[in-house]
Amino acid sequence: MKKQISRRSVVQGIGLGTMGLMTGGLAGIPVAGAQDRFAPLEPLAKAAAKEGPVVWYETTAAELMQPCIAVFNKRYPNVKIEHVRAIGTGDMVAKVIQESRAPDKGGDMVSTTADQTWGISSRGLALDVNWTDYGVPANFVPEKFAIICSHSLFCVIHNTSQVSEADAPKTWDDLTHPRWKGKFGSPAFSHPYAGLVPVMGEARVDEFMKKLMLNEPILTKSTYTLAQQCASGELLAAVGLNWTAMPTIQKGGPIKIVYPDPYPLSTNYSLITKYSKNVNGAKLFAIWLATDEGNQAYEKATGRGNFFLNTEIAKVKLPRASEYPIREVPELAKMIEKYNTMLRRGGAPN
Amino acid sequence: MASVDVVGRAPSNGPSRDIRSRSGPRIRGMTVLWILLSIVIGWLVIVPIALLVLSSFKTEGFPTDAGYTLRHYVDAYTDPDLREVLINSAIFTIFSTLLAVAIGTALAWLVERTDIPGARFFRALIIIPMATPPMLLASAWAMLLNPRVGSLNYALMWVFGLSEMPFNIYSMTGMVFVEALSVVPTVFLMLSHAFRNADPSHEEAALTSGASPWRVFWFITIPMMRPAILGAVAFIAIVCLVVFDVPGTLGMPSRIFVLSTQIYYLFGSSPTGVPAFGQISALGVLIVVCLILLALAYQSFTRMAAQFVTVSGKAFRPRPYELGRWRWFGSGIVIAYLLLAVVAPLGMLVWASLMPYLAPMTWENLALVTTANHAALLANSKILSAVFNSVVVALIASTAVVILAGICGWVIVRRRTIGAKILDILTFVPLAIPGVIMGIALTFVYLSLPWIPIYGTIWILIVAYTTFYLAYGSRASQSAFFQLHKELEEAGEMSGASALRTHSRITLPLVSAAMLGIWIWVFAHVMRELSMALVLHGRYNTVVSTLIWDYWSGGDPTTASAVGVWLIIALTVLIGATFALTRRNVSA
Repeated sequence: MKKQISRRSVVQGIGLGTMGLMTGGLAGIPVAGAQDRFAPLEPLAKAAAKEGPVVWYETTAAELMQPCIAVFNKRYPNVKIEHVRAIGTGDMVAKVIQESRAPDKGGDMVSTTADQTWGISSRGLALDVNWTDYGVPANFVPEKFAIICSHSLFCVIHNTSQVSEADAPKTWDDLTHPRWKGKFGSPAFSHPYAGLVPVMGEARVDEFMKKLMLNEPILTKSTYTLAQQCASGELLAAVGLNWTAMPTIQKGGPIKIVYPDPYPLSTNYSLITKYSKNVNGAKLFAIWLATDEGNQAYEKATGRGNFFLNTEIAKVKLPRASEYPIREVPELAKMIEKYNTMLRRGGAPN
Repeated sequence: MASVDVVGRAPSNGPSRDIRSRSGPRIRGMTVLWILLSIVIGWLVIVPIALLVLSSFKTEGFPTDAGYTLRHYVDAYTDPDLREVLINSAIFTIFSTLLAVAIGTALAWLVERTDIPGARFFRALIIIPMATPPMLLASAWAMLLNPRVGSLNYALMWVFGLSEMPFNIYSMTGMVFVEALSVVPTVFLMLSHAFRNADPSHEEAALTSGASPWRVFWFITIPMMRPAILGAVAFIAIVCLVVFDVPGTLGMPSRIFVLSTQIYYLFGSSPTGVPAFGQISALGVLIVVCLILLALAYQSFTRMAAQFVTVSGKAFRPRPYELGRWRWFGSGIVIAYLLLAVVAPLGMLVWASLMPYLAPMTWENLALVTTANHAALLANSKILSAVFNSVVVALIASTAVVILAGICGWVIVRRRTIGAKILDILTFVPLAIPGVIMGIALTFVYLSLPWIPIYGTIWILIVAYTTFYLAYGSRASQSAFFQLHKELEEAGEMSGASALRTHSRITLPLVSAAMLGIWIWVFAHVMRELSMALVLHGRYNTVVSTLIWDYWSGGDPTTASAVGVWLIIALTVLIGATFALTRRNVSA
């Protein structure tokens, strides 16, 4: 087991923010100056202006994404982006597979999670791009078909009006205390728990899950809903995602985010579909999202920022992160399957 | 206007000899009608069904995959959780259907056949829950009856001095209760026309013979309504079998999985990141088989349909039962339903729409009241186009369903041939196709046909909804045609009127109320439908339901509630206006 873990790239969250600031500088693209940063992109911009609109699949509500696209269009007014909201889980992969087999193709670019990215690339539907040729730092490009767009952080949230700071759950094991029985919520999907395995190890996560199930977590489809249920007092605590809890916090909801050590990290990637008709525009937009300017606009719209850039999330002090690298998505899938079954049955997987 | 007869004799199913002798052009007309129906229904129904079945045998569950496999059937049907899922589905379906049909039948009888005060007013109000998106209805009940801070639970504790919350909505009982409330309007619409047009002479004869009203209701009225009630049972059973919103919102939190949530689970929680479409299709095939069995059962129940004819060539004047002092009790029953199905959830949605985040209904939280969510709607640049798209889609789809369902209903009832029976089943099965599969099938079909460029437009939604809601339209129109004696049409033809004139002057006016009911039902359901709208969502076809989803899934359920409140208000006004208009026309 130990060997297995060491094989994986365990991301150290504490270091990530600072590493991002140090290695990527304040931008994904070289730091020499604002104009220099975008200079390698000029040929792409010129070619993109002659293409059609870039159809971009992403999960944020279209209305929320418009300000981000407006910032892009301020810099590149001749490149149109058409954002299409995918309903999330699996929908994007399904769309891309279906579209790839029909004569009239659809989307050009997809921004999504590692498992979805893998789902598309493993079917040969993602375009390999030499991203570094456009000045993108190598640490943004784990694979040729993917460029890092943003990071999502799984966390624990609690109701601050009914749970004192002292009683609030701060570690994963805290959630297994009988006091939370029937009073805490969990997403109906097991990604946060599977994401703990690289740091905690499979055996320890198995044990943790067994204890957690004894507390009968209330399952909910969406982490947004969990945050709202926490704010209303229906739940006292829940496993959630940082950016889905933020809208409730911003509206004054009495909840607080805690990042246990380790916290499961989920990196989101942008990829270009192999059948894209507007490759230059798609490349330009994907790279722009990996700049300070683009990522700040994206973070403002979605709540998801990139650790390696000068974003709000890069300023948060975090414990260790735990994540499967994109190449090990098949291993992640096995863990998700096992813990999904436990969540669903409320106990052992078999 | 029309017409009455005591239905003592069974009319023959086939055309009379006189008519048959002059039926040359008519047969040609029927042949053309058959060909047209075959093309339209074949395209709308057979294509997605064929793709559903094909997908279930394809390697990754996409119709375009290379190779075939039985793996999805093995995986889906050997899943150790499936037994429990099927048991839960059966319990949920049976009890929701029984409860909804019992309440809906009682309400239809009270409103249409008795003299309860306010019947006209109730007729419009009872169908308001139809305007409520089920996701919001289920969420409203979760806010009312959740076991920790449910507002209604709090109120009951306070009123009765209880020490703990009396109800837990996250249970099978809660699911059945909310689902039944949500489908009662459909039952009501399916039955109210039948009750309204039922010949009262049998009941009057029984009453004259000294039978009690209860005995008359049980032994005369209910048997007379059997085709309509069985039609409602068959339809509601399938709706409950495939519905997702209520079990997804109220069952999943406590791990009560039914078939629809199992499908959602396979769609959304697939460990590989790709939905398990093959298994979803394999389960979809099971639902289709269940549905076909139900449809066959329904056909056998209504084989002797002639005995249920209640509108024939002689005039009758429907006279309501006089309930005497019980009439207020009757109104009380309707009001109790309205309190549970309309006032409580709508009140909760209004409250939620005035909160910055979901907060229980308490005096302290009154300080949080804000109109910001409603203001946010006006600031949303997509709101106008979403409303426009929704209205256009709903108008066209509901009109298309009424036309197709009217023709199909007439053919199925009047031509009791094998072809008609197949048509009956074909118009019913789209209901069994999970929304996501229907979406995927249509995506594939229209991406493959670039000369029909409707992918990503409102037209693909219109095709989807026309197909899906044809099931309801066909069932409801059949109920209406079952009640019309064939001699009415024969009389028109014997008088020398053409088939077109006969139908436009005799048949249509007699079923117009039922057709209007179908139109309203489809319109309201299209306005609120979500699962297909999401899968078929493209650049140019945002509708109100996807806007609600945008807010809801974007962490803003309170603004989603605000959209829901305005949607309910708009649909209520529409339904009320339509009813008022109809009543005026009928009076005229």
